[in-house]
Amino acid sequence: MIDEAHAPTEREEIEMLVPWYVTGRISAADARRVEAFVARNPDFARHIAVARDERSAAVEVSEAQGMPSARATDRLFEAIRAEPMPRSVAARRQANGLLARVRGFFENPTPVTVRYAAMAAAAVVLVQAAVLGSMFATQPAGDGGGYRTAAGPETSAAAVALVSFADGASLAEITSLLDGVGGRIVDGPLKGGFYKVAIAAANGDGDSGAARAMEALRKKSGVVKLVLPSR
Amino acid sequence: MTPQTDDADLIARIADCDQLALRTLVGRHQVRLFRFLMRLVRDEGMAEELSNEVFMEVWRNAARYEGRSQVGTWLLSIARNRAISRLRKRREASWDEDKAAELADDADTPEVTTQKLDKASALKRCLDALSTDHREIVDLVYYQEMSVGEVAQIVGIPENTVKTRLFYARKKLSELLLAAGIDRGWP
Repeated sequence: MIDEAHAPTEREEIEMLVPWYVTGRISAADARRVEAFVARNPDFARHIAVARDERSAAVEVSEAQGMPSARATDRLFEAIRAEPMPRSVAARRQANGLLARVRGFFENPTPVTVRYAAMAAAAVVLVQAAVLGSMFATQPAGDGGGYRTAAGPETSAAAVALVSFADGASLAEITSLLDGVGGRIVDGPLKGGFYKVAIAAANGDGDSGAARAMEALRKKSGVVKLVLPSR
Repeated sequence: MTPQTDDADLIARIADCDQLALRTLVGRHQVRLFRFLMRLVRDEGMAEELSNEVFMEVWRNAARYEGRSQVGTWLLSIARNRAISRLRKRREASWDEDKAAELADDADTPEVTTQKLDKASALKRCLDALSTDHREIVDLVYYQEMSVGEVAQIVGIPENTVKTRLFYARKKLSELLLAAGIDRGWP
């Protein structure tokens, strides 16, 4: 009996290694131990032959167990198809899909994708223009409120300019700039995304004052895209 | 690329819900897994069911595979745990004893048995009559060709216990063969 009280003999130790020796799943050092023992004890070769017979029989017994049926595999994949996809995988796939579409557009644009992109850009400009227009149109006026048109206070304007704002310009930047030059939007958006901006006479001294105001608008390239004299 | 790398790559793809990768893994390991399970549970329907459960567990938990053992070892380990759990419910241990006793009773006399069976078929019959623990370790070492360390991982026992368990399985095999009239000269 091999236990803590009865340490295995050298022969028993080698006998315990033999199964792995015959399958080849043994370390080189242990394989050498077995071979050295056989060299010293030629009768032990008989034991290795016994283990080889055992192995052949064990392999035959296992192979005789047959194969799983095709139906079993079908059942497995039916069950797998019915499994919900883990949230982490679904989220990663969605993100990867969106990234791939964006990358695909830039790497390989097609007429259709370009057309859709142009339509999307135009829609963004229209929305931006509508928001800007409605905000200025509904902004309470200092003189009692109401919609400011060129027919009203504009009559006191020294000049009127057509201004298109930069795409990234915020409402706060536009308001600040217009306040600084005494300008206000009196119409728009017009064709080409322009707004009509009236420069108040009080802030300028005639034509030269209006010219300075327009020059100040032109210098703010981060906010203003283009400034054209309207009259 | 080694089979180990291939299998690990498949597991990574399975973690990303790649069914084709799972099909490849199933094609590669299903038969050996099924036969291992058959040696433990001796029931074709149950072995198929357990084998499917193993792959389902891989499908669900592939992301948790850390590559500490070979994929084949991991699969056998899952299979073994599931089979043992199922066997506990079925009280397989007592069946083994009955089977061993049945084998001894079958033999009219050692001489008659020797006439009936040649050595190879007797050996196979006796292998089949071993206890679950012994059948398992014989299959893992001889058929699945697992190293001492891999068997220790799958069965969850120390490496020395792996060696002694197989040693006693082989001794028991000799006893059964002797009872069937075949002396193989060991031990």
